[in-house]
Amino acid sequence: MRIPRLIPELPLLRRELIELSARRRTYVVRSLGALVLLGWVLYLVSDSYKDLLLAQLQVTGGLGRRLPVMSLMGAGSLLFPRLVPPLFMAVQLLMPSLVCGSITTEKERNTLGTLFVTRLSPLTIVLEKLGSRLMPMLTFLLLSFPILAFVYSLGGVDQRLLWSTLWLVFWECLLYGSIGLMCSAWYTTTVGAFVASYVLSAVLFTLTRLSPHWFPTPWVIWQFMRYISVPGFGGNGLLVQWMSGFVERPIWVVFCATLPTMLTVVFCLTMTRVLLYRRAFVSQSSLLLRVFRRLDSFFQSLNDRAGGVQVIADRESWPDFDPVAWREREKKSLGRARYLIRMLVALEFPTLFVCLVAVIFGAAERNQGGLGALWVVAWLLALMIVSVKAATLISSERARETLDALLSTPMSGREILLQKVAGMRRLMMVVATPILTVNLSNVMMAVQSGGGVTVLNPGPWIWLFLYVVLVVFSTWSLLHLLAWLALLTGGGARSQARSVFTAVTVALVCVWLSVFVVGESRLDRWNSWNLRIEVTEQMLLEYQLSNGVRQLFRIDGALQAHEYFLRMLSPNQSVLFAGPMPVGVGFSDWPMLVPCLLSCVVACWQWLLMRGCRWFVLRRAGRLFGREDELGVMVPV
Amino acid sequence: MQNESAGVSGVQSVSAISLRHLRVSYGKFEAVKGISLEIPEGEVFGFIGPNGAGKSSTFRVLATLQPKFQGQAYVCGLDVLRQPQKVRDVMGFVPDFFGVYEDLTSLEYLHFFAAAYRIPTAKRRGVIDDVLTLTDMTHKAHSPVDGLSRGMKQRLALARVLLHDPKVLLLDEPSSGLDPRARIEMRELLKALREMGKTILISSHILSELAQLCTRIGIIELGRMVAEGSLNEIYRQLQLMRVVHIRADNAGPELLERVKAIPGVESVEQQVDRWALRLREEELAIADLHAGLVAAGARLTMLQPEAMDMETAFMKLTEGKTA
Repeated sequence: MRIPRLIPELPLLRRELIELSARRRTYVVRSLGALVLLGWVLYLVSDSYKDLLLAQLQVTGGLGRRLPVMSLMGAGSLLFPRLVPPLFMAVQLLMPSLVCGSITTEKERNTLGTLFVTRLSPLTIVLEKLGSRLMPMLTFLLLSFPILAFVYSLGGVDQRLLWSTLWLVFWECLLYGSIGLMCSAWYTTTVGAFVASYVLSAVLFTLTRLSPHWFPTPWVIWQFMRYISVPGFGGNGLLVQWMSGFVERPIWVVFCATLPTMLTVVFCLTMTRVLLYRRAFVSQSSLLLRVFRRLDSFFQSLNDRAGGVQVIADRESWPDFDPVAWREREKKSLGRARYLIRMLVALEFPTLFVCLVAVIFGAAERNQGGLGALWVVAWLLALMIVSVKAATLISSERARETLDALLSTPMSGREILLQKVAGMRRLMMVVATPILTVNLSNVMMAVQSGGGVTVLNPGPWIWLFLYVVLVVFSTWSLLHLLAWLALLTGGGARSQARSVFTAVTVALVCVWLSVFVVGESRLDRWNSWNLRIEVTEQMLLEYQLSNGVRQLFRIDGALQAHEYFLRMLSPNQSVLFAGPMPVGVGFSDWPMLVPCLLSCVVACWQWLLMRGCRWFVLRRAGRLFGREDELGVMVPV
Repeated sequence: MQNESAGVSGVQSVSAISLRHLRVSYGKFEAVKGISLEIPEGEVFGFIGPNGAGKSSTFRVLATLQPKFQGQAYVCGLDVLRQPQKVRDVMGFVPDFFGVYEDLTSLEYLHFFAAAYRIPTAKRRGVIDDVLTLTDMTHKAHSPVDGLSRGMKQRLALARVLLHDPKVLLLDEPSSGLDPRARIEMRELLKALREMGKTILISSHILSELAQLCTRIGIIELGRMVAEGSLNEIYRQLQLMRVVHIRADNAGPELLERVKAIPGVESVEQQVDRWALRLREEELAIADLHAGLVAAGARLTMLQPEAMDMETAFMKLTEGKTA
């Protein structure tokens, strides 16, 4: 008797998984992921152990006594809340990149039409595609299970919390996966889908931060769930009220709280199903270019009404002896002056508005939070734009099969690379402008908030001028460093998607390492248990030197050093140090020489790093292009 | 190891392209297995082989795009490994698959490459006009490159490689994907380049075209050269016979017998409107056949030697194995 097939055949899913299993990088990424996860847990355990030890010291008042092993019981309650957020973070970071190429790669290979003529229904294609990318993420998360089990075994973790966490992480995967899949169905290239997936994910993430009650993603629910049992936790809003029932009816509460996420997933998958056919054979063209062309016609019509004023006229230009830079400057959508000016206006107007508001109102309240966030957003935007652009400088030529023609000319690889980066300078200037606007606003706030800066006293003005020079210099060198780094990491990739993914990942890892691993010195390190400390000059000097050393290892070290330099100039305008609030005394008389010197040293160091990276990339130019410019590899016959 | 003696330069002065024991490997896979080749200046050499035979790898070596290979490769006496920049000055390469910059017009495209080939600014306009005229692309000078047909793009690619007036042209399947008209136009263009004295190394799948264009051909399979020489040499090597089609007013059984009796005629095949004669060409030249037929009493209305039986040669030489 023939046994009926219970599990459908799922040919597409099977093919994708076979392809995945045949790639070496699947195993490399898994191993690295496991190592990172294990390292993180070890760090957490050791850190928690230290906290427990300190707590013991507080109780016993003695030093040198070992912590009894039994006192680790219940440490799960300390470890679990620190272990789970990285899982959510991993899903939010990895899932869009895993999914965004699932349909676009079929479009790029012209194989989507072949799928349509099979008996696979569009919905099956969508679901199998999602499944094929969900599977690697889930297996990756599976790596954390033994660790979760270990943490659970320490005690202190509610079983309901554990199961709910697994449920929520699964839906977090589906949520970000379905968003990525929808982008993949809409866009014709993986690069477009990649950027759009991350932009949408970032928007969703920001919305959940700004208004968690209205956007209860699994991550938000988990946070509520975790804190709901903490005594004294309270709050308004439907979600909080709803989640307060978690203790009594955990399954139903979590299930119902996940309903909006489920509906969002269903909506995204339905959209993917609809877009799959409609956008299957749309011709590949630059979205940016199309937007600019629409804007062009709009501005043209406006201009005609205004009497035909032309600031930048179209003119015929020919390359002299820098053809590659000429093409990047004059023919690319992100190179032409007229388009870049529009981009600048689009970026600069909101920045300027926020800065003006902050300068007018913020300085009086000594609140720099808004500008700090804007500065981070401007830098993240610059990082993304410069990294993506630089990473695709070579791979776009390779993907469009124009590289061989270029490489068979007498131009050396070094020349081509230098011209490519030279062609990016205008774009770098555009993305640097909002950043520098924020920096200049900080200067204005420093002037307004006092800090010893008066018109009659020229001394501080010199420091401010020096700060501006250093900031401009460091912004210029950091953007170049990012460009060369992206060229180095993404230049050798075969496809544009891979080059973008590699370059952006490397850049983000550098930022992550800088922020979370190298970090910043805390002034209160010496006395953790006092909430108020007196800051002496000696203490401050040590703090500055310690931070100076750390800044040498941070990708944004120079920028941090300059910000500290400015804060020292005007200490009133912001919270100076992390950790429990210190009490600063006599800062207005503090000599500026140490922070200024540190700022200069770190800026020079960063410039040297940039030049080193540039030198290394240019040295490897031949390898990046896949040819040799000078003496090649000679193998004896 | 690399020969740097005068002996090598002596050989180089004769050959426009010289390959010695060329081997190209991609990991464990060996794409080219010891090819040796000498192509004198002014020769049009046809490179024939099935897909994956190693043709494009050989082209990439000569175009200085292959960083690792074994053996020696020279273009106009310049070592491809040691003097790649100089090689690029004397060589023009059209790859089998190539894209164009979609954001440029044909004129801008040529200006781009003129600058890349470092042609002096003052001369540039004239050179570009010349190559546009030669390739009959003048009317498309201001058209966006992306909108050009495949044939036009191939012509533009030829115009590109002619900008710096190279001595050697490496054309990897320039006729692939072209419609019949575009193929014929391309062939005429290549003939014009041959007349200009360019050394051309060309690969193609359209064998009859190479037969009309090339002075010598090389047949490559699985990375090895299986035959090399002029067409006649290859025919002799394979004992292939020339086919001549004739049509006569007085075609009949008697004439057929008389024609079969002409020394050098191997066989006569009667077709609908003609006879196909297979000749042993070393015994009977085509001109002598004509005299023989007239002597046999044939009143000829057509005598047409079949251009080349390249397909037969190709099938006989290769086993259809691909990598």
